[in-house]
Amino acid sequence: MLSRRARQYLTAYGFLTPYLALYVTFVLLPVLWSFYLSLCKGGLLSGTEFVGFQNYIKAWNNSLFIRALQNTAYYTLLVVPLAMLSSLILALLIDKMTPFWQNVVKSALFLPMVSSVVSLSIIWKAIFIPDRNGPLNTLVGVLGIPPQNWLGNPDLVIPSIVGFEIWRGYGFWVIVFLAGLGAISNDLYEAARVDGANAWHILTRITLPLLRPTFLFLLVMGFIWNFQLFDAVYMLTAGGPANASATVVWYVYRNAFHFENLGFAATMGVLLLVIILIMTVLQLKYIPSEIE
Amino acid sequence: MAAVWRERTLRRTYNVAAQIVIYGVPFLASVASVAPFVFMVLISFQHTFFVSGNPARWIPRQPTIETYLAVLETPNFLRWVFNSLFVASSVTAIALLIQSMAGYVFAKKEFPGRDLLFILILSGIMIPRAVTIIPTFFIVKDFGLLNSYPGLILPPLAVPFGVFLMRQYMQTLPSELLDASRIDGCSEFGTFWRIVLPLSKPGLAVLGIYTFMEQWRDFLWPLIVAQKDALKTLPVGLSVFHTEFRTDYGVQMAAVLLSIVPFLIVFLFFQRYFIKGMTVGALKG
Repeated sequence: MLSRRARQYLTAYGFLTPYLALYVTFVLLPVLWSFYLSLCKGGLLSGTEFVGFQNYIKAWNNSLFIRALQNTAYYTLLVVPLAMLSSLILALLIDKMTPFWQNVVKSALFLPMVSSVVSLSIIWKAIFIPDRNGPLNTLVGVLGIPPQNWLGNPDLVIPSIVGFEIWRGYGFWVIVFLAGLGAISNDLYEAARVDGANAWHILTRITLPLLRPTFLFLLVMGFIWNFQLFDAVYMLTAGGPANASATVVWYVYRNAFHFENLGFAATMGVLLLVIILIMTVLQLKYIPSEIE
Repeated sequence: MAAVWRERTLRRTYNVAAQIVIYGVPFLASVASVAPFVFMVLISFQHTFFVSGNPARWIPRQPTIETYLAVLETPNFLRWVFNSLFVASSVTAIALLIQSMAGYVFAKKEFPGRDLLFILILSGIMIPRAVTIIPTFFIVKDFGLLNSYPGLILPPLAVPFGVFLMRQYMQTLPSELLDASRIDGCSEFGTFWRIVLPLSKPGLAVLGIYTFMEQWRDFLWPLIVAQKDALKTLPVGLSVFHTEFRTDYGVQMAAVLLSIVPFLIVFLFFQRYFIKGMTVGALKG
C-alpha cells in the first residue's frame, strides 16, 4: 500500500505528464539537439557529420550572417523605441477619452492584430507599389515627396518594414500601456491634485514612474520578438534587395530548408538564443522595475 | 474685471485645445489602422485598380465579384480555411486541458522537484523558435507526421506561456474549497474537473483566446510541416496563392478579405476577452 504522501506525489506527476512529455519532445530535446547540430555539417538529404566548432568560426567570418545580425539589430532598435514612444503618447491621450470612444479607438487599433502577417503583407505589398501611381507614392506625393521604391531601395527597405511592423503592432503596445495606466490607483492622482500638482508634475512624478513595470515588459518582449522577425521579411522582400533586409531567422530558414546547411543554420539559431538570453538578463538586471 | 474675464477665456481656449488633441490624435491613429483595410475592400471589387502609367483608380467604376469567384474556385482555398480553423481549435482545446492541469499542479500541489521543473518550463519562454524548429522538424518527420494534422497540432502545444498563466490564476483559488471537495469523496481528477476548471473560467477564456489567435496567425511552423497543398493553413496557402495572381491585386485582396473575415467575426463577439488576453502577460510580468 502506498502512503498518502506518495499517492499525492504520483497524482501531481500524473497531472503534469501530458504537458511535460510535449515540452520535453518539442522544446527541451530540440534545444539540446540544436546544440549538437551546431557542431555538425551536412543537410536534410546528405546526412550530418561531426566537425566541432567549425561552424562558429564560419559564422564569425560569414559576411551574410553578420549582415543579417546587423539588419536584425537595426530593425529592432528602430521598432522598439518608436513603437514605445508613439504608443505611450497615444495611450496617455486615449486614457482621457470617454469609455465609449476608448472602445471605438481600441477596436480600430486592434484590427491589424487579428490578421496574419501574411494577409497584412499582401495588402501592404499593394500599398508599397513603387510606381508613381502606387497608393503610398500617391499619398506622399500630396506632401511633395517624390515617388520611392519602398521595398526595392536598400536604404529604404528596413525603414519600410519597420513602418509596417509598427502599424501592425502598435495596437498591442497601446493596449498594454492602457492596462498599465488602469492599474494606477486614482487616490494617488487625487492626493497629488490636492497638493496642487499640475498636469506635467502628475505625468512625470506619478504616471511615468508607476508605468515602469510596463516599460520593462515591453522592452524585454519587444527585443525578444523583434529579434525573431521572419514573416514580414519572407512575404515582403524575401530578404532582398541584395540581402539588405535579411534577418537572422530568415537566414536560418534559408540555410536549413533551402541550402542544405543544417549545421550552420543550427549554429546561427544557438547564437541567436545566446544573444537573446544575454539581452534579457542585462535588461532585467540593470533596469529597475520597482519604484524607489 | 477684464483680467478675470481674460483668464477665463484663456482657460476655456486651453481646454478646447486639449480636447482637440485628446480626441484628434487617437482618431488619426485609428484612421491609419483602418485605412489599409478600406483600401483592401475597395480594390477587391475590381481587376485593374492599378495599371502602370495611369492614375490609380481607388473607387471601382464597375464593381465585380469575379475576383471573389476566382478565389473560391482555387482548388484548396476553402480547405485552407477549414485547416486553419480546425488546427487552431484543436490546439486551443488540448492546450486548455493539459496546460491548466500542469498549472494547477504547480499552483496547488507539493511534490519533489516542483520549483526546478517550473523554472525549467518558464525559461522556455525566452527560447527563440529558430533554435527548436529544425530538430522539431526531424522529430515530427521520424514520427511520420509530416503533412498531417497531428504534425501541425502537437508542437505548438508545448508553448510554456499557458502553464505560467494558469498557475498564476489558480493560485488565487481558495485551497479550503478544494480540500472540502476531496473530503466529500471526489477523486483528484474529479476535483480538478468539477471544481477547479469551472472556477477558472475567466483565466481559461483569456488563455483560450490567446492560444487561438497565436495559432490562427502562425506561419513558420505550418510553412515547414505542411508541404502538401491540401494540408496548408490559410497563411501558408495565401503566401503561395498571391504569387499566382502577381498583377491582379483585385483577386489578391479578395483572398485576403475572405481570410480575415472568419476570425474578425469571432473577434467582434469576444472583443473584451481579446484585449484582456493580450494584456494579461504584461500585467503579470
